[in-house]
Amino acid sequence: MLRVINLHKEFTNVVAVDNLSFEINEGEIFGLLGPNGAGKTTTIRCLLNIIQPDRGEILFNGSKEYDIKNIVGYLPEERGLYTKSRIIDVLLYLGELKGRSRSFVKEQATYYLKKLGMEDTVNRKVNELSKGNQQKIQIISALISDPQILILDEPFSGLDPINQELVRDLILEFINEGKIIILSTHQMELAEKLCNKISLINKGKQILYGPLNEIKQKFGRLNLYIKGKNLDEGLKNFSEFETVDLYENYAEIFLKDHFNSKEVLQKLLMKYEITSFELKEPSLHSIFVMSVKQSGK
Amino acid sequence: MRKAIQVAKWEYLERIKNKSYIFMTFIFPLFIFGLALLPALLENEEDVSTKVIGIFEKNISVYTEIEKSLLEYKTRDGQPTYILRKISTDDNDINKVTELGSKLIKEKAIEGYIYLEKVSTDSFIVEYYTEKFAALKDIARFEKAINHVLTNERLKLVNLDPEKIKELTKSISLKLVKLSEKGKEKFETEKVFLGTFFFIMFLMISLIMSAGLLVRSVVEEKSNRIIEILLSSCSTNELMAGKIFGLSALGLTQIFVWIVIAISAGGPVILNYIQLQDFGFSLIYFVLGYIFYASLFIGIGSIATNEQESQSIMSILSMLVMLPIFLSSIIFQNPESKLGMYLSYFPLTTASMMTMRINLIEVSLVEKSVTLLILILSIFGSIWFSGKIFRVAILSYGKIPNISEIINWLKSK
Repeated sequence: MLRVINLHKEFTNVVAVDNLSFEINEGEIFGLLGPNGAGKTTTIRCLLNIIQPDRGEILFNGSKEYDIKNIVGYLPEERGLYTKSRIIDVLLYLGELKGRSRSFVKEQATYYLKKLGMEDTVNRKVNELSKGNQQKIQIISALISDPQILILDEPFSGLDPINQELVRDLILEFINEGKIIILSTHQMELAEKLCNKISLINKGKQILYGPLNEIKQKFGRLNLYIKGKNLDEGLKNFSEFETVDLYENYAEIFLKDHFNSKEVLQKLLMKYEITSFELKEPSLHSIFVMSVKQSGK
Repeated sequence: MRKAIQVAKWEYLERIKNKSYIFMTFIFPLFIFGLALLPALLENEEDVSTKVIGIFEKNISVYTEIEKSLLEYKTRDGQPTYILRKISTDDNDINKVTELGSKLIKEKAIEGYIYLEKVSTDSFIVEYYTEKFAALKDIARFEKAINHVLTNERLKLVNLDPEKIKELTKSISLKLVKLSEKGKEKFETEKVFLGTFFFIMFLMISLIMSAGLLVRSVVEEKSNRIIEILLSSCSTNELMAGKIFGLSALGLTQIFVWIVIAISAGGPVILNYIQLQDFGFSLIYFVLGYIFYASLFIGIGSIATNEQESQSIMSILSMLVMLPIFLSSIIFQNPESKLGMYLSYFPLTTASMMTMRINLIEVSLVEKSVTLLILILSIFGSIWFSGKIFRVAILSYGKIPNISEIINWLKSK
């Protein structure tokens, strides 16, 4: 179990992380969510012991005595590798730097390259690969040391749907071994699908934390999902609607406290060709948007 | 420590494959030695064929003496290099002389001709006419021969015997003998100067070269964010130490290759030109100086965020490195100079100043120990300094920090 207790970090005039606490159990995918500049990267850097927090503790299995650098795999948001070096050399270097033996790293490299269908690229240089394949190599480099904890920052950005699927499989395989994943992302749909637990932070402060289903229940209200042909910005003029998120063929609406669903439906039908009208628990995205807005007030 | 060695190994093995490194290591020394030895080789180039040179004299007749004087130059097969051919016209009219001279040159009967006119007892007109650009070597020889003959003429005029004068004014050359603990040693100043100078030059060139590679590698790691992956695997200190080790190993490999090339390519020739009095201590100063500079550069280099900035930083670092070379003239002028001594205690110039001084003069063991101690402490100091900067700089992207920001980094815990 990874436990973060009252983590606090300030830079000149900015509180980057403000008394953040959370717990992640083995087998959990933990979503670290928040808008840009919320403090996600600083939190990750503190976890990785790249920077020292001003206050707070990070415990792994109840102890401070562990070398995070040897048990963690990290995939930063912005990607890049030594482009002029051979793939196998890069993987060996990054694996050995985690304190693993050369033979172990070699075995791991062979396993993952084969799994991702890239075994014939082992002796090629990184810059001879397509962008997507370079990304896959980078994901392998995060997994190569067989870490206990995996920190992924926007792991799917820049991947096509097929590769996204491959990476998803890798993540699930990893988590099934009873390890810990920390997933930092803006993609709420993704977080909603993958994470068991989330922490939503804004301006360094944790504004939501807990298992995903509990958070949704705690939010205690239902959102309106409508589908229709000619949905437009006009929806925002409805007095019953707090916020409207308009998508290609549907809208998710955060309703004000007192409303009459019958009246709302009638009003909608007068203006739009509604094909579906559904009240259900809010999406993580709308919880995210509402919570960030509220915390900003 | 293990991780630092892994970083060093990676840096070393990756950089050593770099094309500019290979070029600098193998091609550059040949180029430099070539450049240094070319004049010497050219000077010794033998003359191939005999040249006929015309000579026109007015109010004077010394051409046999000049020819005799030129006899010291011989071609490869022992023939005289220059044969003089007297040219004259009936009335010695200048225009007619020019006409005749040009004609003879065109017919290839002569290479060119010397015009020699005595205007008064101590005034002469001496000119050399030729159609093509004359070899500087020839000109210098004619000048020497004519000077010699005319000087003798003038000496005779005042009834002095040129031979006697030559004997009386013979100059001596001062042989230097250095007294040291080892006893008397013959001491060839030029060789030692040159040897020391080369030693420092190569230290600096190798440093600039390796520092360039290093700064570029840090910028690359910053711009592709690999630095974050590295830092998730090892501490900043391990990363920095690894880079310093790697860089120093690269530089020392380069120097080693240069020495091997120098000795195998032109061993005896080069040893003729270069001499070091105290090789052991020179090497110690060299290695320590290298590590000091390398550890300083890594901190300064890490603040660059893109290729362009890394280049401007490199030019600043290069200036820092050139400083000892500029200052070396102080020592060469006067190895005992007080300024040279003070500069030996200034870390940026300790290695170069001491290398020069220990080779040129007797430096006490106390002074050697103190400067070595300074150098070692400076290495720790610059590792501390660079560590502070490196730690923050490698994670800051986008813009180069200003001085006050850097001071803040240094103050931070």
